[in-house]
Formats: sequence, C-alpha cells, structure tokens
Amino acid sequence: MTAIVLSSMRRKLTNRSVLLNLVVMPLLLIVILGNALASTFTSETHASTATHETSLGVVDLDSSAGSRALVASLAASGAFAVHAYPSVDTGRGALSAGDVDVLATVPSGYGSDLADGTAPTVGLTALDSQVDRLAAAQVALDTVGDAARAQAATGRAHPPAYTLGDYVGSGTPTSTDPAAGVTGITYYTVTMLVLILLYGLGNTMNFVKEEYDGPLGDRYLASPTGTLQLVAAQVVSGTLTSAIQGGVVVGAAVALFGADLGHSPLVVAAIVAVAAVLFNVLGLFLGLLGRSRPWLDPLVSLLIPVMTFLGGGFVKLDTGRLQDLTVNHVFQSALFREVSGIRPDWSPLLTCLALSGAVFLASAVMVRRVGVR
Amino acid sequence: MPTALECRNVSFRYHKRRPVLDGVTFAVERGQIFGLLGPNGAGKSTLVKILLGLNRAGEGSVTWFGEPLTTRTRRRIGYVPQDLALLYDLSAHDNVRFFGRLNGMSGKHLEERTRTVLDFVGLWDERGKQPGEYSGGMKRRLNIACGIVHDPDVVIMDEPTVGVDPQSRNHILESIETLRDQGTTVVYISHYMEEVERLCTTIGVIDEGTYLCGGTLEELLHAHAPEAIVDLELTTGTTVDADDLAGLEILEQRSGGVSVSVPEGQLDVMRLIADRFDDKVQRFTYIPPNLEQVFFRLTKKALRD
Repeated sequence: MTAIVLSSMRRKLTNRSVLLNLVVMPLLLIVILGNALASTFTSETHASTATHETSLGVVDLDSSAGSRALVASLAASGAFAVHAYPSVDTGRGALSAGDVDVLATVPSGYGSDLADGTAPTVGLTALDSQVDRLAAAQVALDTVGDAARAQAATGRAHPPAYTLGDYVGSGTPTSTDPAAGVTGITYYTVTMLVLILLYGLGNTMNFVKEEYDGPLGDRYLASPTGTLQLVAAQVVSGTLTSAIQGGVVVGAAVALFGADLGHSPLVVAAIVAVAAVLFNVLGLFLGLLGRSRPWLDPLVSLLIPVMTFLGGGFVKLDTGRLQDLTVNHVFQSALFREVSGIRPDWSPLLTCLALSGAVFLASAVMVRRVGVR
Repeated sequence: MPTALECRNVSFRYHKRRPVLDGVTFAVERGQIFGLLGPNGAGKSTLVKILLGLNRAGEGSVTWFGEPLTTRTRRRIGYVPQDLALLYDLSAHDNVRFFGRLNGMSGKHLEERTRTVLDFVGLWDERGKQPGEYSGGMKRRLNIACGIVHDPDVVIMDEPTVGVDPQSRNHILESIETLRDQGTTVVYISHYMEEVERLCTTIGVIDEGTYLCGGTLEELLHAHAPEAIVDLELTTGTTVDADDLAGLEILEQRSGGVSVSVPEGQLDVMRLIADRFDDKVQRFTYIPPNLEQVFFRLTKKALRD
C-alpha cells in the first residue's frame, strides 16, 4: 500500500499540470480573493462607509415598550435605514429580495427579559453575500449596545438593552451561529478550504477512473496486493493531496492576509481530515462506478462547479431541514465554530466518517465487480 | 511433469448474453511455453481475466500449482497485458520498481531485479526516460519488464507483440525463449500463428469461446492437418465438380472458389488443377500443413478473419 501511496503522491506532485490544479490554482485564488477582500474588511473607513448604506429590516416580535424603544434607538442612531416588518417570514422575504441588507429580529419576551434583568438576544440575519454589511451592522449595534450599558452603569438600574445577536447566514435568526465574529478573509478562507476539499472528489474520481479502467487496473488487481489495500491507498493519497491543498490555502490566507482559524490547529486539522476522507472516498466510489457508467464523469464535472457556486455563498438556497446535510452545514459551520471559539458539533462529522467507511467498503467490493471492466 | 495451470470446464458470459467461454479445459505443465491461439474475439482475453481472478467464471475452476488463486499463488504469477499498463509520469526505472513493490518486493532484491529485467528487455541504458519518450516496441518491452520483475514462476503474456516493429518483435520473442530456458512457464496468448509455431511447446486453439484442440505442434498437424490445402479463386460463374478435382477432398466450396486437400508436396496434383481450370484461375494458394490450416479445418475460416 505504501508503494502505491508514495508513487501516487509523487506522480501528483511532480506532474506540472496536476501541480497547477492542486497547488497553484488554490494559491492564486486565495491571493486574488484575499486582496479583494482585504480592502473591504481590514479598513475601518470602509466599514463605517458600509454602515451608512446598511438597510436594516426589523421584526419586532415582542411589541413591548422596551422593544419599541430599541427599534427607535436603532432608527435614531443614524447608522441604519430601518424598515419594520410584521413577521419573520415577511422580513426574510425582504432579505431574500434584497430590499434590506440585514434583518434584525427582536424576540418575543424581549421586554420582560429586560425588566427581569436578563440580557435578551437580538437575532441578526444576512445573506452570505452581504457579510460585509452584516459585519458593519454588528459594529454599529455594538455601539448602540455600549451606550445602553453605559446608561445602565450610570445608575438607572437597567440591564443592558440587549446583547448582540448573531450572524446566521441563511439559518434560523435566533440560533447562535459562530460565523458572527469571523472576518471576511477568514470567512472566505474557510469557504475556499471546504471547496478545495470538495474538489478532491473530482480529482480522485478522475485518478481512480484512469488507473482502474483498463490494463493498469488489471495489473493492480492481478497482483498479490489486496483489494482493501489498493482502494485504501487511493483514499490515503487523495486525502494527503487534499491536505496539502488545504494547507496551501490556509497557510497563504494566514500568512498573507491574517486570516484567523482559531487557536486549535488540531481541531481544524481533524475537521479538514474528515472532509478530505469523505470527499476522497466518494471520489473513489464514483471513479469505480464511472468505469461502467461513462455519463457519470461529465455529470460530476458539471455538478462540482455548480456546488462551488452554491456552496461558495454566491447563491444561497434555503433547503429547509436538508440544510443539515449540506457540506456548508457539516464542515463550514464546524470550522466557523472552531474559529469563533465555540466547541464544534462532532456528531455530523462522525456521521460523515461512518458514511466514508461504508462507501469505502462498497468501493472495495466494486473494484473487483464482474463485468464492469 | 507437475502442472502449473489447470483450467477445467470454464464457462463465462456477460449478463445473459451468448457465452464468451464455453467449457474451456486445458492444462499447462511447468517449464512449457503454452500458446493459446485464436482469432480476435475468440475469448482469449476473457479467459486471461478469469485465469487471473479478474473475472469470475460462471462455471468451472482454475487452479495454479494445484491450488486456487490466492495471495501466495499470485506472487508466483506474472502478467503482461495486451494493452500497455504503464505509469506514464514515472521513468521506466520507477515503473519497474513500482510494479515490483506491488508484488511484495523491496530493498536490495528489488534494486537487483529492476536492473536485471531492464537489462533483459534491453532498456537499462534508457531507464531514466518516461514511457512517452519510448518507441512502440520499447514500451512493449517495458510492459514485459514490469510483468516479470518479481521473478514469477509463470508469466501470462497477452499478445505482447501487437503493433511493434519487426526488430522489437524479434527481441521480445528472443526474450520469451530466454525465459523458457530459465525454466519459467509462459502462457502465450496470440493470434499470430508464426509466433506460436516458433515459441510454443504446446498449443491450444480457441475460437468463439470453445477450446477446439490442444497438443504439440506435431500432434495438432497430425490430427487435424495431415495434408496441404490448395485454395483456388476462380472467375465469376465458374462451376466446380468433384470430377474436375480428380477425387481430391473438397474442404470448402463457395461462389467463385474452392479449397481442396492435397498430399503435401504433390506437384502433379497442382498441375492437374491448373490445367483443368486454366485461365479461369485468378489466384492459386498453396497452404502447407501448419496451424493456419489446423484452424481452417476446425473452423472453416482463416485465423485472421
């Protein structure tokens, strides 16, 4: 197995065109994106400029004196053009239609929490494409919040007017999404990292198809090296390749643009490893399946850019509960949580590992399937 | 002599189509070069895949050295596929080393064997080049080196000379003869009659998935082609009666032609035929007793059809 892994790695890393796809392209992308984003996210001037342009939708689910006072203070702050919506649905509709940049949801019970001395939570929602506006809105809301805290501290015996809610992507407004605190470059580093790992699927699929669809595969399978070892070698070499690609993206983003990927490289590495294993095992399976189904290759080649477009945050689809199964939810969220100092939810990641194991075993059976070659 | 390979009543079909192999039975003794001769589409490559465990026989069994195919027996088998099975982004040297490792070799022994087989196929001096820089014949030779690097007891060679120049072809055939001299058993798959006649100690003939016959060349000629064949192509409309052929056995009669069996070397008979048909003869072919004729007599078609 080691021989196959080493030779595969050597072939991938010494082949110029493969090297271009594996390392140079991701590096270029992160440099281009980093430069484009740096001007948006690292300058306070730009952040405050964006604030003036922020159109804030507000859904007041409490309609108490306290919540009305909050909405009034937001409108009076000068940081937002405030639009009120009667329900979360209409507010989200306006968000999706682009009528507002950010949606603030004042939860039911806000006033009573305020009266009880409990810090209430205001939810913030924005599309991924409006993450800059969201960051700016967050800064402005912080300022309003600080003012309220200052009021409380000067003896008016009020708890803080609110604590800041969260950036939620397309998720639920009241959830605590960890991406709230991430910078733009970190956000896109994580996104690109996940996409690069996803591209590992296509790379491995092509590699496996090339190796096992013909006499070379026959020679592998006729050797005394076991089937499990053969397929494991493909997964290991693919995973290592993905890890190198991920390392290039992260290293460049951290070194050149100050992206922050949290304080535990091991946790980030573990999440990346799970993603790399899953995508490479899927690539292995599809590559083997593609030997007898030639239509599969162009289909996957088409789907990967489409998924890139969707997963990259350029377009966001609300798929309801299916959202829990998406690459974004499983891997991107886990990385965002880690970056934000929140413990990642390991259960979807472990599910992915179990799925990888099952697909791996299916691949080991399929590699010798009668009549497919 | 102990048996290296035994194939018993092997049948195979893809899904529910017509059988590709139907009850194939033969045995190869150690130290032999066994030639499996058949035209394209006869089922030779499918049979090879079954011998190597790449496809599973629907019926029948295959044993190597008296055992079913296992990891242990696989180590004793070398395989040279019909199509080139090389890693094009590695050098020839690294290709051979890679396939050596795949067959469980390592260290100094691997290095020595790599040199030995590259020398053997005449590529040691060109070992640093990648296969893409090689000629067709050199690629074929490298393909062989990769199949024998682990010093197998038996080598399956599936059409190893297809598409090579005469010089490389001769080099390959000489290499196979050397392997035989070193005691290696070779299963040589081919549709080239001349190669099989030159190399093989025993020969099996296969067509349309059926194993037609097997034995030494002499045995096959004696049993199936004791006489020569004269094939006549005649002008359109010429009819042939048995009387016209002086009692010669008619093997095949077709529109515009006839094949007859003649005792080898009997020029009188041929003169008689020539006189009888005179200017109606467009082509006159004399086929001495050989494998081509064996195949023709068994299948009523030429080997290269």
